[in-house]
Parts: sequence; C-alpha cells; structure tokens
Amino acid sequence: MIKLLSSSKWKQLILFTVAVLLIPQILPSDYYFLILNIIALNAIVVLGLNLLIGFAGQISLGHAAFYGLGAYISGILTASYGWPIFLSIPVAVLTTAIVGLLVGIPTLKLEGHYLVMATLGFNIIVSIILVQWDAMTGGPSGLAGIPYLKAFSISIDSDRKFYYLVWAVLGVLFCLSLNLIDSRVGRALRAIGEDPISASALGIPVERYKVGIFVVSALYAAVAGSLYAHYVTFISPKTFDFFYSIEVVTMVVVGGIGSLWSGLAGAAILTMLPEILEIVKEYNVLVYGAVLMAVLVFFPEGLLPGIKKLWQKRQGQVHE
Amino acid sequence: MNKDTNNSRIILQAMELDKSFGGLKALDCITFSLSEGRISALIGPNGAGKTTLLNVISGMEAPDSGRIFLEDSDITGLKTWEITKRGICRTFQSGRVFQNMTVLENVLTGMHTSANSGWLAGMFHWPWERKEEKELKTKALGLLELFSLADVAYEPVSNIPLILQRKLEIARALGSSPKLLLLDEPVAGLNMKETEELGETIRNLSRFRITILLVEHDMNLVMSLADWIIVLQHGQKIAEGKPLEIRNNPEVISAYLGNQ
Repeated sequence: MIKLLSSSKWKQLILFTVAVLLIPQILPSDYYFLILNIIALNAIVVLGLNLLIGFAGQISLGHAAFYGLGAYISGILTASYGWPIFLSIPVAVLTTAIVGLLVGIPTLKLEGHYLVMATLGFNIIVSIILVQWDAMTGGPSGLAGIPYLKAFSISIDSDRKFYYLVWAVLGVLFCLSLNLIDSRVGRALRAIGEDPISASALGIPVERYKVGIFVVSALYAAVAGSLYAHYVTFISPKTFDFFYSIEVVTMVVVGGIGSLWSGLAGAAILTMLPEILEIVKEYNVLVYGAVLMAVLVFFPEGLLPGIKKLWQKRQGQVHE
Repeated sequence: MNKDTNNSRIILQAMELDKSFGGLKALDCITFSLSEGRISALIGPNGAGKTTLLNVISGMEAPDSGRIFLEDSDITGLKTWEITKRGICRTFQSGRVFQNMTVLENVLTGMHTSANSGWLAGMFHWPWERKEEKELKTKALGLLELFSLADVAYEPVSNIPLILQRKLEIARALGSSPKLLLLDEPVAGLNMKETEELGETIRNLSRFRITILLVEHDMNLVMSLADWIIVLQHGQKIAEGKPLEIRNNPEVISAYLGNQ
C-alpha cells in the first residue's frame, strides 16, 4: 500500500471526508445535489488553476477551453462513435493534456498580461471551433445523447450517485495536489512563482516547470469536463466560453490565492452565491458584483486567509 | 587538466569575453582564470562591468563573443539552470531569498539539482521519494547548523534579520554543491559588525573546498578575504594579482582608489 499522505494532513482530510459523507443524509431535496456536484466540478478546475496561479504565479484565462475539450472529446467519442466510457475519458484527458502542452510551450514564454491575452485567445479559438465544426460538435445547438457513466452494472444516472463519484475524484486530486506542493517539484514551482531568476540560478529549469504545471492544470480541467459531459449528457459551446475561464480564476482569487483549501472555499462560495441571490430577484447580478467587490476590498488576500486573520486578531484581543 | 603557475587546478577559464549594450562596451576582451579552492575578488569602480561579468558567467546573459570553460567543458551560452547544474551557483546583489518560504524550504529549494523526484513521485509520494526527501532534509539541516541557522529553520524568512538572510542565501547556494560560488556584493547594506561576521562566514567556506569569486565594494573585506584580485575598469581588465600587489599597483590606485 502506498502511503499517500503525511500525517499532518490527515486531520483536515478526515473532516472533509466525514462532511462529504454526512451532507447527503441531511439534504432536504435532490436539487441541492445538483449544486454540490457543480461545486465539485468547479473545484476540480480551480484546484489545477490554483496550482498554476497560486504556486507557479502564471495566470491563464483559457481553462474553460480545456474543460470544454475534456467534455467534447469524451462526449463525441461515446455519443457519435460508440466508444466505451472507460476508454473515452482517458483519451479525452490525455488529448487535452497534449493540447495543453502544445499551447503551453509557446505561450508560457510570455509573462503577465501577454500570457493572459494568449490564453484568452486560445479559449476563443476553441469556442469558435466548437460552434463552427457543426458536423462533429453539433454546432451552437450542442451535442446530445451522451451516455451516463457506468461502472460494472452501476449506472451513475442520478444526482445523488454522481455526487459520491465526483466528490471522490475531487478528494483524490486534492490529496495528489497537497502532496505535489510538499515535494521537490512543489518547491520548484513556489520558487518560480516568487522569483523566477533566483529559481533558475538554483538550477531549476523554469520554462519546463511552467509548462509542466500548465499541462497538469489542463489535465485537471479535462477530468472535470469529461465527468461533466457524462453527468448532464448534453453539452453546448456556451458552457465553455471565456466567461467560465474568468469565473474559475475569480474563484481562485476570492477564495485565496496559494492555498488549496481556500480554492475549494472559493469554488463553493461562488457556485452557491447566484443561487442564494435568487432571493433578491432581478438585482442578483448587481448584488453578486457588489459582494465580489466587497471581498476584494476587505479581504485582498482572499476570503479564507482574510477570515483566518480576523479570527486570530480577535483571539489576540481576548488574551490581552 | 589545466594548471596554473602554482600547480593548482583551474576551475574556471574565461577567454576574450565581449559584451556590449547598445554602443557601450560592458566587457571588452576579458580573459582570466580561477584556481581551485581560492577566493578571488572582482573589484572596480561603478559601471566597470563586474555585475555583467557575473551575469555572463552564470548564464543570465550570453557574451557577444569569447568562451567560458568550467574545468574542461565549454559552458558558453548555456542557460542559467544548466550552468548551475554543472557546478556554478551565484547569489545576488541585495539578496534574493524566497520570502514566502521558511529558512529550511529555501535550502531545500537550493538542493534542487541534488535530487531527482519528478511530478508523479511528488504527487504519489512513493516510498523512495519520501526517503529522498528525508535525506535531503537531514542534509539541509546539517547545512543550516554550519551557518548557525538551525534555530530558525522553521521560521518564515521574512521573520529573520538581514544578516541571517544573507547567510541563508549562501547556504542555499551551497545546497547545489557548486564547484564555483559567485557572490555578488554579499555585505551590501550590512553594518560593520555584520560585515565582519559575514566575512568570517565566507572565510569558513574554505572547508567546503570550493572556489569563490567575490564581487565587492568593501575594500577592507576584499583585502582580508581574497587570495587573488582582478580589477576591472570600463569593461577592461586593468590588473590582477595578489592583494599586496594590487594595493601597490599605480594604475589600480589611480583608477579605483583615487589619486592620493
């Protein structure tokens, strides 16, 4: 048995697992599973993106494209060509990773705004292909008839069943990411994020690692995308336009850059917020924007680190 | 193997290095060599080309022409990380330790080239990866001990004073087990007492049997540390020799120490 984790992380992860297993018992209706599932899918994308942005310091506004490629490739292979899902998902994920590599090699030579523009451009190109390549993708009206996930004789055809699957996948990827940060590669990525010149002077091949983490984050997005396709069984290009890229980057920033737990919080909060804001009806977009602004003004380092700081300050005052 | 006149091995040989920025010749046909185990100092007035020379040796800038050999292999034009991997590590003027890491993590990052674990090993923490990490950590703590930094090993760098950050930067550089260590103004910004302390640290590096090239403005420090001094002015090498010879060289005195 491989020892997956060091002991220090166990406490948090056991809490996490218990919460994931308990929540279904207390949920009043199946509608909430839909939201929780979307949270998990977003959290998987955010997880990879947080490694890229928060640790290696590289911003991408193109991850909706990787999410979309994962969804469309697995969707097309199963719906149009009758591939079994246990083959279509790995092929979708690997193909997306290769696209990530091909995009990453030239674009990651760029820095700052230029990298943002290049990845944004890539996202727009993929969006156009998804809309225009009618024969393959179903065009603007989308791709229907994607089969549900099926393992042995169990078909994952309900929100409740998908909940366990997607949160398990998130849990595994979360552990792998925590491990990665706490390793030689993780230190190299953090070094690059803080000071690439110093990093290269210590013998770290900066460009190679930047491309590496870009590919890993694309891979995570593709995993989420392919799961999404077999969950909703119908996909259309609009889901994967660059607004989604902005949304996931916002989740990283609002949650708190550079901490995986904060990213999870960001994904949860920003996925739920629009649902909660249903109560203010037509003002929901306005309030959504105001909430985002308030978070960034009052907690510039992100919601979770900000609240933690406030809490510590309070504790300090009590002791005095 | 190349030997110098004292029959010690030559670690680095620079041959006719040229480097221009626009019309300005930052390095003009620079040739010199560094012998194993010696502390050599690179001095010269501001704008003499010292930092440019350091950048060229460490691969941060490519020379316009000329060659650099590390021991017997040609390293001209290699990337910085490749040069570090082959055995030249540098520190930076005004210091560049990773502020968001702990002291120990800084040294572990400096040991990047002495470990092998890749992406999958990092994600799955295979048993051999854990073993390698453990060995790395033991080695790093040992290194911190030698620099009297063991007490602050788990402190974030932003919590420790400047003098310790400077020591840490040298310790971090040694993590890559370099044959040649380039120190770019290590005592800039330190007071006299701290300067003496860091000078002692640098002197003690001889136990690692490594060769040092020191760029420094503090002449007292240079005279007390260096076995060999190379003097640059306007991108040209105007003299080199033992500290006493340099101190009495009229050309150096007029160029660098001022007319007296």
